[in-house]
Amino acid sequence: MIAQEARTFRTDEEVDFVVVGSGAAGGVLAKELSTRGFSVVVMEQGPYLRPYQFRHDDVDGFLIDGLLGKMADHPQTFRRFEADTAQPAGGFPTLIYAKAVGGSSLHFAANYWRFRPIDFHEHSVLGGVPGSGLADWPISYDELEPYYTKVDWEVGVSGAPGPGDPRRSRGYPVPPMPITSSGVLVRDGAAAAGYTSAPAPLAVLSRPHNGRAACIHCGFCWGNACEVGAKSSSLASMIPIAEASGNCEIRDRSVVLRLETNPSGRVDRVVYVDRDGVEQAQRAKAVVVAANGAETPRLLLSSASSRFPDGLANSSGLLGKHLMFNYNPRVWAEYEHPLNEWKSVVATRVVMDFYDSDPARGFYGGGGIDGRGAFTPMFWGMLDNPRPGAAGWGPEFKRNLGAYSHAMQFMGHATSLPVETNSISLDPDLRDAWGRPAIRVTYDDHPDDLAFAGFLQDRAVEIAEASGARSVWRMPILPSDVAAHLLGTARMGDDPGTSVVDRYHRTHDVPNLFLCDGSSFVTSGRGQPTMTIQALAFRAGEHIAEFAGRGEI
Amino acid sequence: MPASSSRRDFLATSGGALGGAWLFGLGPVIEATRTWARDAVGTERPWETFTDREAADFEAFSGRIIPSDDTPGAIEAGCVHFADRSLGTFLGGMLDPVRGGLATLDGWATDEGAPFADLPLSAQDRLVARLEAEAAPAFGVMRLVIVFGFLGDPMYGGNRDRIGWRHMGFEDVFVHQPPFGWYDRGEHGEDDR
Repeated sequence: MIAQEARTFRTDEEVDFVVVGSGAAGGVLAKELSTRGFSVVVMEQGPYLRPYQFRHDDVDGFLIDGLLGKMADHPQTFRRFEADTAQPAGGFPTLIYAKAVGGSSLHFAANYWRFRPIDFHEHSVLGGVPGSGLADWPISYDELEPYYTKVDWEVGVSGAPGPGDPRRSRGYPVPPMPITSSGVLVRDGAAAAGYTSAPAPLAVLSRPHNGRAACIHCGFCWGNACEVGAKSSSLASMIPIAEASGNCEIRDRSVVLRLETNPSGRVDRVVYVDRDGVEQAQRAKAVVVAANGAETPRLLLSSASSRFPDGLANSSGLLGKHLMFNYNPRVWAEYEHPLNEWKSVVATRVVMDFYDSDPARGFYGGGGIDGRGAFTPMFWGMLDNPRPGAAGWGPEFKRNLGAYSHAMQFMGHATSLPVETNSISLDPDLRDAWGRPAIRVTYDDHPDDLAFAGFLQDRAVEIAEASGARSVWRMPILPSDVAAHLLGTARMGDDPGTSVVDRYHRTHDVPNLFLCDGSSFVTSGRGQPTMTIQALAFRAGEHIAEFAGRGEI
Repeated sequence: MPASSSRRDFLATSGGALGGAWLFGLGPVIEATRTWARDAVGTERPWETFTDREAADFEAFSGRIIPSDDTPGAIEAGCVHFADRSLGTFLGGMLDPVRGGLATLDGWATDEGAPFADLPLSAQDRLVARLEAEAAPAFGVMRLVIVFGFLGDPMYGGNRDRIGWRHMGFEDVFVHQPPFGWYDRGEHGEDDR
């Protein structure tokens, strides 16, 4: 790519679009809109880091500074029930997401499962689930399929067809990643237990593609950013194209406080704190908020005004509601020989035999199982040890720490039901470093979510035992209070009374305001949302550009 | 669902909580910390956070958490050096529980007639078990600091000679080729390389 001076815009210059957020959705939207000739300013609250700054250092990444920002700057509060007073998250954030250009696509594990047709109309097939707001999407798999294929080819996904895969209009651009030992054990354990498996689709390049390098198998995908750009983050795949269009400014370290509306109820200014701590306002013809399922509702709730007293675009009262996380039941196994799961990508094989919800089980739920190692060396000692029931110190603890290279986990990825009382709201007391109300999380897993997690864990135990493990142990299934998948808080729908955005991501209440990220989800899928977030973003970008071209914004 | 237990509680009781570390991220001190850590490896310096007695007790305690047997443990890995510096800087949020745990241990040890570090190993083990039972949060934080020092990058003063990584079989190479492990040997053609 030819180096050139990046385009910049004055704040008093009315740009065609401000995109709030530069992650999985924001990167795609910035690219789609800017390459169609529209002027775009992308607001990102974190810094614009470059690949050479990404190191394999989990002390720096998680204890010092890292991608997540400082917790003191970004406080969150959590409560289980609405009647409780939310408490500040202790040592570990409740909601885990990066604050940097590229967003959480920098540190994601890169599992790129497509949704299947059933995900879009499960309510019609199954009926309602008591205690939930399960609903159909206003769009179908077939409507989204062309955009899944765009993600495959433009963002870059490796893989190969597997049993039960949904229809696809084009093959994968690059073959699956080489199988790791955990992949072999998932494959062979599943076969021995009577199940099927498939290569894991991953947003990691197994071969050079679109001018980007192939994976070097460094082993630090999960929780870390890729220094060679083989992991298909927005930073690696979309942002460079947006900037090269000459129409897009990436304005990093710009913390958006609120959106302001004019007397006719249209958004006209994006108020933010710039990198020098000075409040600014960017004028814009239209705004697309792609800040994630927690930041997007916070921004709109923070933008309440006399005209929009309950928050911008919240006439339904559902803004921030129906938060979904995806549950992850885990099973660990230890083997005679080394697996060395600290090499290469997170997962190379998946079992999808439990994708569909089966009413005969007595509870709702569906999901898949993959095989993987620990987060990083340090996390093995922090999250995965001591094993449940094992000594927490002394010779046994030391011995178990030493099993790192001989161990893997069978991780389940499962549904979360949309429950209206699970939500993102504004904390009434706590504020962040820029004066924004802290994000308050209210979350209590639907009983069916935990029941299905137990079912999926039982299947994972079967596979682990059939794989020839020397020992197998379960991690406890407990109510959620840590999550990286932030879904459902501005759900999409045709009825303005029961949804926040329409089928094209335009808010029902404000004609020039669009929301597109995990918040748009109506249901949670089976535990790997980013592929669908980006397919929605490609589709939204195309439609928004058409609306703008026809003067319909 | 009962609110009595949660994954966070599990992490806390298993020592998995970061214990406020995130609240005390101090970007500007990172380079100083690394420089210090590089200096500290090789030439011993005065303790910066611990008193001499705290340092001796913490080092002895670390030796009971990850003991030295036929392979080196937390003492040889220099976990006390990681702790001394990190608790004064980026793990400052963990200093109070660590200091409290050390004071508790030292009080019990004094009742037995000697500083904790000078007690026979069997007596140290007995007091470590008591701390785990009676002061689980402090014990969990102390163990966590030791684990960080054992498994974190050597530039922070612990994991000397990559003792922790070698114990895990981890190689800090960061460029690999298949086969990756024993179970995927024979699975790869030339295309995979």
